[in-house]
Parts: sequence; structure tokens; C-alpha cells
Amino acid sequence: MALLECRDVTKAFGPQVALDQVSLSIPAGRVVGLLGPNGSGKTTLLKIIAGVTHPTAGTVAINGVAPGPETKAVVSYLPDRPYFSRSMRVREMVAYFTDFYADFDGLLAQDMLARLGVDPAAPCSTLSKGTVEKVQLVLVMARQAALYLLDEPIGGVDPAARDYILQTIVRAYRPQSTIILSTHLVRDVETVLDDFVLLRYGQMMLHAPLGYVTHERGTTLDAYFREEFRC
Amino acid sequence: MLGTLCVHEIKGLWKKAVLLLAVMIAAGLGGMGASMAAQQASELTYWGDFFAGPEASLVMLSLFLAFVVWASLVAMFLLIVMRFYRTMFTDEGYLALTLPVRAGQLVAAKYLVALVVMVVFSLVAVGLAGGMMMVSAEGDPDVFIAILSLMSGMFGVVHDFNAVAAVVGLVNVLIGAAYQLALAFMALALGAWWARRHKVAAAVGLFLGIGWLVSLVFSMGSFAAVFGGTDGMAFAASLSLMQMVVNAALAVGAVLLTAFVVKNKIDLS
Repeated sequence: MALLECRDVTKAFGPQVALDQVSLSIPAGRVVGLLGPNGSGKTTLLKIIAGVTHPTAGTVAINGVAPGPETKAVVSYLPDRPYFSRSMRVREMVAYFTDFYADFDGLLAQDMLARLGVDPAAPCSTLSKGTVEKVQLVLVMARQAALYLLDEPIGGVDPAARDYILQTIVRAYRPQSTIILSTHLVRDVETVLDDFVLLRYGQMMLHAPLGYVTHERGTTLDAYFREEFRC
Repeated sequence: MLGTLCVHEIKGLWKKAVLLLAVMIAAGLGGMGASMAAQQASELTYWGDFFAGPEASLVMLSLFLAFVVWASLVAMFLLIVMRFYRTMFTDEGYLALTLPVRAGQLVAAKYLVALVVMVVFSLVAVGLAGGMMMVSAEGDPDVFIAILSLMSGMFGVVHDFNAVAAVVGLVNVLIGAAYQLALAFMALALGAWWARRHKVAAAVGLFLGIGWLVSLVFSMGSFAAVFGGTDGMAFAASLSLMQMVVNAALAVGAVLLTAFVVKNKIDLS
């Protein structure tokens, strides 16, 4: 059984169709890049899988279960925005995750935060945008989740921070878990991907292993992406 | 998980609640002091000197402090409602709505903690207002009972502001807090679901609209009863009790509807 199964997932906002009958089957143990230009439906798809948006039509199943409390216990979702109250302190964020997620490794989180030089007593409001993103990533990746959904994890940070984030993602990889990360910064992530999914105007163009591009087409994913989505 | 959710809700609210409660109590005690001082001053002067002496200032001060008591209650209500909106339907909603808990638990935890806070604030406010009135009435405890009785609407009028009416008035205050909170939560959830833009404005419109509609129905019923026949006053008193029951039922319904909307209809932007 696939870890994640999406069948004909459609999402419309009024007359605008954000996702159009997207079907996807992803097994455990993969690192999958969800790629596409801005407005292609990457964020909407991740939000539906995470259970914070409802599909207009179609079904999503994680380990055979529709998004709900059971799936949220095994899905670790990093949205593309800061979601902690600005008045919360870093240690309160860690405590929050410790209280609600049985798979959260608090010691690992504290260790990662210490390596980043983040003061646990610092309120969120005093942290820079990049540091907040890193703290959120640390919390999300410190869970021993079955499925990680990372929405633009490297979108708003400097190249040095990108390396840190990608290393964190790679370190979190376990054979029984799958990581889906959406981005349009293809060059930065293609070294860590097993598979990729291409979305355009809400429709799925291609779901293939990275080897499809590198071996069969003899090019890089970044070059392939630029070719496919040339304006 | 409901307990854990409640604990985190309390953590998010307690600092502001304690601060506002301190302001409320200080204002109430200050108001009592001002009332007492005004009374003592009035014994020393003639009525003709009222506006020239300190009494007028002290009376104004006690009225202002009574207003601060009421404003603290309203401010707490607004803080709770704003927190509910912020943590459920803005970016912070990504934290709440990805927790491995049922939507019902999420809403119930927020509602229960908010209700306890509002009940405490309401009781303290009623106590302080009653205390201020009692001081003005030279310590007559009947004034306190009369104020509580007034909270029961026509029931208090019919029962001559007695102790039973006071208890009914107190219960009405508590049910009123539960009803207003539930109505606000439901309005925010519906506003977040229906409105594409100006979700808060839509919620305020719904809150005021539904609240006025319910009040209007019972006001018209009371009016018709009072002027409708010989047993009109008794019927109006029954209507006051009925309104309490309806408000309690509406509160429960509104919380359930809020949980349903959060679970099935809300799409975070």
C-alpha cells in the first residue's frame, strides 16, 4: 500500500481551479520534489494532504486514512509561512510540540536549536524571518513522522541557510518515512531527490524518478524544469 | 488531549486576563472608595454646594470607575474572541489545525477556557457593581439583591426583586456569557467560511445580526405579553426564563456548529 494516495484531487476557489484531478501514489522511503512554477497548485496540494484545506472533489489517503487526527499524528507539515504567535518563546514552541506530538524528539530539537545558536528564551518577535523559518523547520524535522510535507522550505532564506536546511532534511531521512518538498528552486534540491512531480496550472504533468531526467534524457532536473516551463 | 489543549489555552490567556482582572478590581474598589467619600462629603455640605464641593467630582469619579469595570469585562471578551480568530483562521491556524486532535476538541477547549474566564470576570464585575451600589445606599444589602434581580429581566420585576429573582439574575448573567461567547465563535467561523474578504467584518455583522434578532423576538414577546392581558406580566416573567433556556440551547448549538464548520468547511488561505 502506498503511503500517500491522491485520487482525482480537485480544488476550485470559485471559478478558479487550483488543482485539476491530480492523482498521485507515493510509497514510503522516498524524497519527492513537488515542482512547478508559481501558481501551479503545489501549496494547495500540500495543504489538502495536511488537512488544512478540503478538496472540492477527489480523495486523499495517508496509510489508507483520510486526513484527520489520525493522519495529523503521522504527518509533519511545514507551511510556507510563520505560524507561531509572535509572543511565544522558542522553548514554548518546543514544549508545544512535545505536548501534542508523540513522535516529537525534544532533545533532538534542542540540540539542533543549540547548533543554530538560537536562544530558547527568545520570543519569536525578536527572531529574524530566516531564523523563524529555521526554528519551524527544526520543530517539524525533529518529529519521527511517516510523512513530511515541506512547503518552500528554502524559498526565503540565504544560500548558506539553504545548505543547512537541505542537510537537516537529508539527516531526517529514514527508510520508513517519505519527504515531499515543494519548491521552484530546483537546482538546490535536485541532489537530494529520489522522485519529482511536475505541476502546471493545477494539473499533474509528470511523476517520475530522478533517473528519468538524468539517465534517459541526459540532463539535469533544473535544465529540464527550465525547458518545460520556459516563458 | 482536551486537557492539554485547555492548558495551552490558559497559557495563552492568563497574563492578559490577570492584568485586566487587576484593573477591574482596582477600578471597582476605587469606585467604592469614591462613592463612600462622596457620601461622607455630602453629609458635611448643603445640596446647594453640591457642584461647588468635592461631591460632584467624587460621584463622577465613581461613575467613571464603574465604566472601567464594565470596559474591562468587554475588553476581556474582545481579547478572547480576537485570540480565537487569530489562532484558528489566520496563519496561526496552521499550528492549531495540524494538531492530531478533533476539531470538536479544539473548539471545546477554547470555549471552555474562555467561558471560565468570562464567568469569573462577570461574577467579579457584578460583585463590584453591587458593592458600589451598596456603598451608595449606605450598606443596604437589598440594593445588591435588586441589582442581581434586574439581571433576570421581567422575572425580577414580577417577583419584586427578591432573593429568588437575584439567583435567577445571576444564572442569567452566566448563561448570557456562555451565549455571547458561543455566538461570537460561531460568527467568526461562519465569517471565515463564507467571506472571501473582510472575514472579521462579516463575523461582526453576523454576531450583531443574530444577537439582535434573538433579542428582538423576545423583546416583542415581552412587550406583547405586558400589554396583552391581565396575566401579561406573569407571562413576560415566564418569557424571561424561556429566553434563558433558549440562550443556553443556542450556546450549545453555536459551539457544535462552530466545530462542524472548523472540521468540514474552513480552508486556510
